[in-house]
This record gives sequence, structure tokens and C-alpha cells, in this order.
Amino acid sequence: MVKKRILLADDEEDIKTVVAMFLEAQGYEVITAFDGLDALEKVRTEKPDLILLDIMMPVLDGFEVCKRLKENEDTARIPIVILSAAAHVESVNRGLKAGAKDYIVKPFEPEKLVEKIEQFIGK
Amino acid sequence: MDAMEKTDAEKLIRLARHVSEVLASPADLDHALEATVNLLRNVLEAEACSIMLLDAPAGVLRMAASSDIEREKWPTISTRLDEGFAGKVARSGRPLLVREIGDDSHLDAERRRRYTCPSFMCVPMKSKGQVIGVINVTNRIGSEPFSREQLDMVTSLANLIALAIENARLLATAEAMGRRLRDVLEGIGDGVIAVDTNGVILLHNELALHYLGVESGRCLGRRIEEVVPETVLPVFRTLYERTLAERSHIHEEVEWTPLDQTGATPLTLSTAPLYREARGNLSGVVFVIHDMTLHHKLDELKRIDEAKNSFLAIVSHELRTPLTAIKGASHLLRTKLAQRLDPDNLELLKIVEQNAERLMQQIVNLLDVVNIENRTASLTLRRLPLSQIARRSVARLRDTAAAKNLSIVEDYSAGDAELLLDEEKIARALDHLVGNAVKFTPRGGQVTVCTGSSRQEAYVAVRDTGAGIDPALRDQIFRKFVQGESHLTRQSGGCGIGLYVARAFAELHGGRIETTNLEGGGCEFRLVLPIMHLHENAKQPDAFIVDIPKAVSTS
Repeated sequence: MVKKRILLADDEEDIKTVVAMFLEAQGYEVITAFDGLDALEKVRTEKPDLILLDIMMPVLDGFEVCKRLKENEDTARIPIVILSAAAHVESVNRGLKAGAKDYIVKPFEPEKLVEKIEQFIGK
Repeated sequence: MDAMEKTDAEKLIRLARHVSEVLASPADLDHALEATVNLLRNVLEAEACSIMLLDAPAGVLRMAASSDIEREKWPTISTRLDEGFAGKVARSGRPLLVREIGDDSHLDAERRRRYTCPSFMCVPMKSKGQVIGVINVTNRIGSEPFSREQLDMVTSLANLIALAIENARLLATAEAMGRRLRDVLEGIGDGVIAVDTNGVILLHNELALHYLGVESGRCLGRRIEEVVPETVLPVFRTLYERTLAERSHIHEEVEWTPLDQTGATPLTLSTAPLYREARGNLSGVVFVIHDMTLHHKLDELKRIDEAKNSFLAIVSHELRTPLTAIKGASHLLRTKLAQRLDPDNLELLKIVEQNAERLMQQIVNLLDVVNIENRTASLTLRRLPLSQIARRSVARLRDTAAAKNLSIVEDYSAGDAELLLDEEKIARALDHLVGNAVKFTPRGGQVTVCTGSSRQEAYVAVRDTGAGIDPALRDQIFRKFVQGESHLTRQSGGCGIGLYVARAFAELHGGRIETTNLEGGGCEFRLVLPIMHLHENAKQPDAFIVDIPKAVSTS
């Protein structure tokens, strides 16, 4: 069976490591991006099944990445889940408006994250 | 005849001079009028003389002065306008001379007997064509009745007296208005100075002198530049000229140091043009000096409060990221190493996780405060039984309670309700209530959580066997960062925002938190929520109308 591929875009190395390790343990293939522009590039080259997107990233923020992916026909269908420490109602609304499927506030229970991922792309 | 005329003319002149002297400075109108009636009586050789003034709204003439009736009785004597000679004269405005007093059928027999020669004159007093009263002259001493000439004489004098009375009244009104103006000027919290078009001070209040750093004293009639300190004079001069030129209100912020104060006080100087007549020529400028110290302090406090909120938001955000890594890493570590770690090391890992969780709760609390203060907290409503949230809240705190050897008793039998609510926020409110109960109940005590409902409301009550709430602190404990005990000596953790957040979240739902000290110790915190009535809108199946009962009864 082909593993589902998840793109994890976050500029925080430690978080990337922890989340990637956890998702890999759950049977997903994880690729990472270190900023917004890198995320767009990786989406194009790696064609992930789902994107986990941080908001506050260098070069291009998560909202903008989300918007651009939704504007592009090739990438519009990939489900995006925002993972952000910004718990403000306004930024949650902004994320969902930009086309994200869900908005998870950091820190989160790892099981909850897996639950969401399964809901969108299955195991 | 010639001699007689000369005498009358002389008498008239003498009388007129006396009357005008008496009435010239009517500081006390009553006494001036009394002196006048006595003069008239003497000159006319009459038995009695009186002045009655018109009280138009009441339709009567009232006694203002009399030569033969005691002062004390004057206020009690009045004549209706539709009766007697006096009434007739006041109505017609024409003088009247009665040679035979018997003509006046209204005079009673007793009064008729008192007078020897039955003659009577009544003369109207007119000001600007309006009758303001009458002068009565009664009974000639001797055998001759009053003459036509004497009537004319009194008629001329009557108008002079009327004028004096009107002047006295105007003066009294002006004085009353002046007093009122003074009271208003001194009563308002601003400094006021009015200056005429020559720069001369027309009026001012004490506060204005205080702000200008001038000792109290006579400033009226002095020029503005003699009074205003040199440092601020240019501002006054500019505003003065602009106000006259633009004929408009002007606002200017200035700072200077008033007398007997150390630092410069922030003040605003406003001006308004003074008009001689409505929308006519300008007669001067009024300056209003307003102390802005409090405004500035308030602005400063608002700025500090906003800075605090954004600081809290940033701090909690900055704490979240590393906490995510810690939580994730320790979680992974535990799942990966569970079998390989000895109990001691597993315990250490558990401590890391538990403390990361505690840290997380504190951050969530801080963020709640920020959202409440910034009014950015919003509700995501779902229909849920209240007991379900209570159960979960108790479950979360059971370990903490057990560590203190406390038992938590749950009883949801008294009534439960499915409510439309934001699960996360109500859960947090309940966590605070149950958490507080656990925190403030001594070891071995008991916490009870129960629900109840009426038609309009449902509640969760949390009771403890702690010390109860000091009634003096009952309102304070709901304020943020306030705890029922001093910060340095307190036994329990937390930073005093639990009840603040709990109440704010209850209020977001249209509810409240009630506190009661229980008989036999302990207290009850009751989270009361209105039962909202939900209708599905037929036209728009996705839209809900939420009715929050406005008047919530306490049952």
C-alpha cells in the first residue's frame, strides 16, 4: 500500500522534528518545508495528499500560501490544515476564509491531529 | 386762588423732588414706598395713603405700602380687580376722584365711620402704558374734599413712582441673575475669563485666576495683559484675535504652570465669541481654561492596559511554540520507550508532561483574559447536556482532588438541561469553579458538583467544605488578578483569573455566577445559564435565531 504523503511547513525545527516523527510512526510519509515559498515549491514537486501549514513563517506567511494554493487549479483540492500558535479568533477566521479545512491551535494533542488527518485523507 | 395755585405748584415740585430722592436708590423698595405714602399723605393733608401693586396672574392688587396700616399686615391685604374703586382704576387705567365716599358701596360701615371727610382718590401707576398698581389717597383732613388739581398732581407723580418701581424690579432681577451667573461660574470646574473688544476683563471666576497663577484680587476692569502671565500671553492674544476675526469657537492645547503647583499642567484653552445682540456685533471673547490632567492620565492608563493585553498575547504566543515541541517530544518519548523505561524514569517523563500541561493551562487562561478584554471572545454554539460538561470537568480534576485526599461527589438527579452553548468555554468556566473548590478545600474535605434546571434556566453548582468567602471580598474575587488571600502569604497557586474568566464566559452566554456561603462552612459557586430557545428559520435552514431571555429570574 502506498503511504499517504503529508507536507509539513513550519520554520520551527523542533516542531517539525517532533510532528514528523509522530506522523511517521502513524504510517504517513512526511516531507517538510522551512518557509512559505519553500512550501509552494514542495507542493509543486512532491504533490502531497495533505498540507500542515504554520502561519508565521519567513518570506511568505501561511495565509498567503493557503490563498495561492487555492487559486491554482492543480493544488486547490489538496486539504490544508493550519497548525498555529496564533489562537486569536481573527486569525482562525482568516485561515478558514483562505481555504483551510481546519485550524489547530498549538500546542495540540498529537492524537487529535491524527484524527483530523484521517478524517480528510484516511490512514 | 393765585396763592393757592402757587402753593400747589410748590408742593408738587417739593413732593416730586422728595419722591425722586426717596426712589432714586431703591435698595429697599418697601421702605422707599413707605416713605412715599407718608410724604403724599402729609402734602395732601389726607388721613391715609397707600400703594397697591398689581399681581396680574392672581388678578389682584396687593398692598405694598400704607401710611395707616401696620407693616406686618400689608402682605395680607389685597383687592380683587373686579371689585371696588381700586380694581376699577387698575382695569381702566384712568384716575378716579370720589367726593362722597358713600358712593363706594363696598366699604363697610365700620370703615366708613373711621373717616371724617368722605373724599377719596385712586390713581393708576403706569409703566410703558401698562398699569402696574394704584395709589389710594383717602379723606381730606378738614372739611374740603380733594381737588381736581390735587388729582392731576398725584396722577403725574404716580408715573414717576411706577418708573422707580420698575427700575427697582429690573435691578433686583439683574442682581439675581448676576448672583446666579456668579454661582454658575464658580461652580463649574473650568476657569472662565471674558474680555471685551478693548481687551478689558468683563468677568472671571476664581479658578481662572488659579490657572493663570494670579492672586485673588480685583481683576475686573483690568486689561488682560496685566493679568495673564507673559509666558502664555501670546497664546491668549492669538486666540483672542482669531476668535474676533473668525467669529468661531477655537480649541488650543497649552501647558503652563499655575501658581502654587510644581509641574506644568496640561490645559486646553477654548474661546467663544461674545455677541452684543443675537448674531450681531461682537462685544468680546470668553476664554475657558480646562485642566486636562485627568484626561491625560486616563489616556495613559488606557495605553498601558492595551500594552499589557498585547504583551499577554505575544507572550502566550511565544510560549506556545516551545511548549508544542516539549509536549510532542515527551509524548513520543513515552509511546516509544514505554516498555523499556523503568518506573522511576517513566515517572520523570510523566512529570515533564504534567507540567507542560499545567503551563499550557496557564497560557490558555492568559489568552482567555486577552480575548475577554479585547472583546474578541466569540461563541461556537452546540447543543449539549450541562451534566456532560460537568462530568468531564470533574474527571479532569479527580487526580488533583485525590492527591489532597478530597472526594468529589456528583449528583445530576435534580435536573439537567440540554443547552445551546460553547462547550470549550463552559468547560473552562467549570474547570475554574471545580478547580477552585479543590484548591481551597482542606485535605480530607469534600466537593459536590450537581446540576438543576427550571423552565428558563439551568445551573451547575459546585460546593466545597472550605473556609467560605469573606463577604468583604465577595465582589473583588471576580476581578482579574485578585485572590481572596494576599499574594505573598497565599497557600494556593494560580494568579487569580479563574473566576474572572468563568464569569466572563457565563456572561457571554447571557448567564451569571452566584456565590453563597453555606451554613456550617464552605461555599457554593453556581454557574447559571439561560435556556435559549432555538427556532429553525424555515426560509434559511442554515440560519438560527437565538433568543436570550432578557429578564432572568433567580429561582
